[in-house]
Amino acid sequence: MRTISKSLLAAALLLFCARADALPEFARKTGMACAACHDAWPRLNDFGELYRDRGYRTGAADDNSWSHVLDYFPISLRATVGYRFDSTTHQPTDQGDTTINHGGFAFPQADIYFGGVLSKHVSIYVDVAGFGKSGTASVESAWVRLNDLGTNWLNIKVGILELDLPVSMHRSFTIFSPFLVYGFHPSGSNNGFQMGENQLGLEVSGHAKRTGLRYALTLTSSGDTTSAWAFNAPALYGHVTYTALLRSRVVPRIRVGAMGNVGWWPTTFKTLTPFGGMPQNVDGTGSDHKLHARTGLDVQMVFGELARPITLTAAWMYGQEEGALVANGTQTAHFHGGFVQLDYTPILPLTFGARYDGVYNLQQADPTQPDNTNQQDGVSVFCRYAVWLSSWGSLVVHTEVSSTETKNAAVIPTNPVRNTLVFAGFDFLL
Amino acid sequence: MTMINTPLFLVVALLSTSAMADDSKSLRYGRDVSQRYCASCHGHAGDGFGTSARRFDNTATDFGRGIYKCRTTPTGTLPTDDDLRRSVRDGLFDSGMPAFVAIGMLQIDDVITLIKSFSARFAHERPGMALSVPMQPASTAESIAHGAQVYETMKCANCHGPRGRGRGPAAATLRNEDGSEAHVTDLAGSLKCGDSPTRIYTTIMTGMDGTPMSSYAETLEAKDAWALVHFVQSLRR
Repeated sequence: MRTISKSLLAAALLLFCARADALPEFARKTGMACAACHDAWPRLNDFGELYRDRGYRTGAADDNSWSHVLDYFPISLRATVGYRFDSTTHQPTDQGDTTINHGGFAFPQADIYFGGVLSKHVSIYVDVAGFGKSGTASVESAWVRLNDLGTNWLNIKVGILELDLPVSMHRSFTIFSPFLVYGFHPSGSNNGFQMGENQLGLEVSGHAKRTGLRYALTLTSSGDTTSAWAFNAPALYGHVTYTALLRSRVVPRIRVGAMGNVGWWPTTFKTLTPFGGMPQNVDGTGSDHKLHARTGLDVQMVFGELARPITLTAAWMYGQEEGALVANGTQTAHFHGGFVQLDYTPILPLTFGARYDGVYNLQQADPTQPDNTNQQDGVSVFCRYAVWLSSWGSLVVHTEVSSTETKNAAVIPTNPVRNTLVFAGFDFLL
Repeated sequence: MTMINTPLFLVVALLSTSAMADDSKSLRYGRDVSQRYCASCHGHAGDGFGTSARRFDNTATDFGRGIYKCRTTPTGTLPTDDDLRRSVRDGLFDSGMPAFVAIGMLQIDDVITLIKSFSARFAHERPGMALSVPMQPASTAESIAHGAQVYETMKCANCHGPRGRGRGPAAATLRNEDGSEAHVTDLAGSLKCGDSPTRIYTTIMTGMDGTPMSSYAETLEAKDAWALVHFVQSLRR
């Protein structure tokens, strides 16, 4: 049973679709090209980051969305369509260990975004994502941000928001291959905190008036009603970065950052046993909270021209989870992991690159588990070419291939489970 | 031995190449920078006919004419590189031109090389001598009252209106040099070239070339110009 759940978890990681954010409504409003804010869609460059950090304001022109609302279409739409193939090895069936394949045209999903400025000091953002076959959708992001509260070093955002990760999950060049370290937990962990997913919380952030130092500190609570605490399964996350723009044609830009988070997750619940059923945890009764934490460093270097960047990005983290968070855990689990990505944008419409992801155990919470159980590593290769690129939107041909291996997750425990994904299609944004 | 030295040689070669960056390289880089940040408004040819230019009340600058509003140089002369750098870095207020400070000085310098290449004026003329701004005297009730007198004497109200709101009797008839309708500045609002005392003083003394706002360097003494600055500032409170 455990091996099946591990496999499902690994498959879910690959099936998880990190919807990339970019808003043509901003290009329509400012009259600027998409490339003004994005190295390549969806990754932000320094100009785009400052625009975001100011609360979607350029600072010079009239930024109020409402005074322009009749001048441009203020909502962005996005859909991704194409062929997708998934393969997962060493899966259990009645006929024995087998490889499961899925291939065909993927059912498209659509997102709707609105981001805007109500006044110099108030910005808002809503992203309803995942309109799909089932007819359901979810609120991916919804927040209110109070900008420049006396200084650009104090901004407050409340709602469902993305943590200020070393590399944004929502701005990755890989749409379907997530950063493994963000979603990793030691084998058997019940910890529900997923740093790669948007969080319910409050973020305090600040930034230099020009490119340089910036910070974000976020207090989150879990969206699941699990904890008996008044503040449900809280976590505190922080990220500080410093970006230097150099007068160098070789390395014109370097960014270094440090991140850390600490959180608590309940391990003991009161239960309710339905007639003829098994005892089930009662939401809101979770207690005996145990600690999980991560610290890490990240670096990003641009080589050559900033306008045609060759970008090397690396982030590595050390993490730990208390033993009680893990099934049969008797000691604290320790692990480390991260990613290294190299990409190149030789011309505005084209970006290609590759990424290595890896997460490695240092100590299992359950000492009887092999050291490498649930260790993950993988390689992703991507290429994006915009056949249409304007301030009204983009039509991008997106191809992505990834292969990820999870150790000791198969029917025969010594076999690794390998997930392979191939996608070729269009990423459309209006 | 060769294996050890090869990477070292490559690093030295790369750094040397970096140090030898010349104007033609800067021009090529400037085109790449412009493609991202400038061309959507100013056009790929720098003629002010970018795809988004028509969105704004104020037309995007046609770099081919070599005429710039915000300068520290005398009217009719070319701006200095620092003037252009300031406009790109800090943006122009009351316009669609945002501050591009975040793109870094290297890219700003590259795009200035490109901007200058659009106009033959930069090949044949040198920039004017930057205005020397005398020390600002204290702003007092007397200096503001004196500035109000200067405002009247210089007939500023004809265009800017008695309270500086840009609704003077002549405002509706004013035209820029290119024949477009002139947008008279509301002195209580955003000032295109900046609202610091020094920037207001410079705008008064150098004028805004290409617009009906002429230079008052020949007609105003420094103390009168500063008094006018103080009066303009009083309109903004």
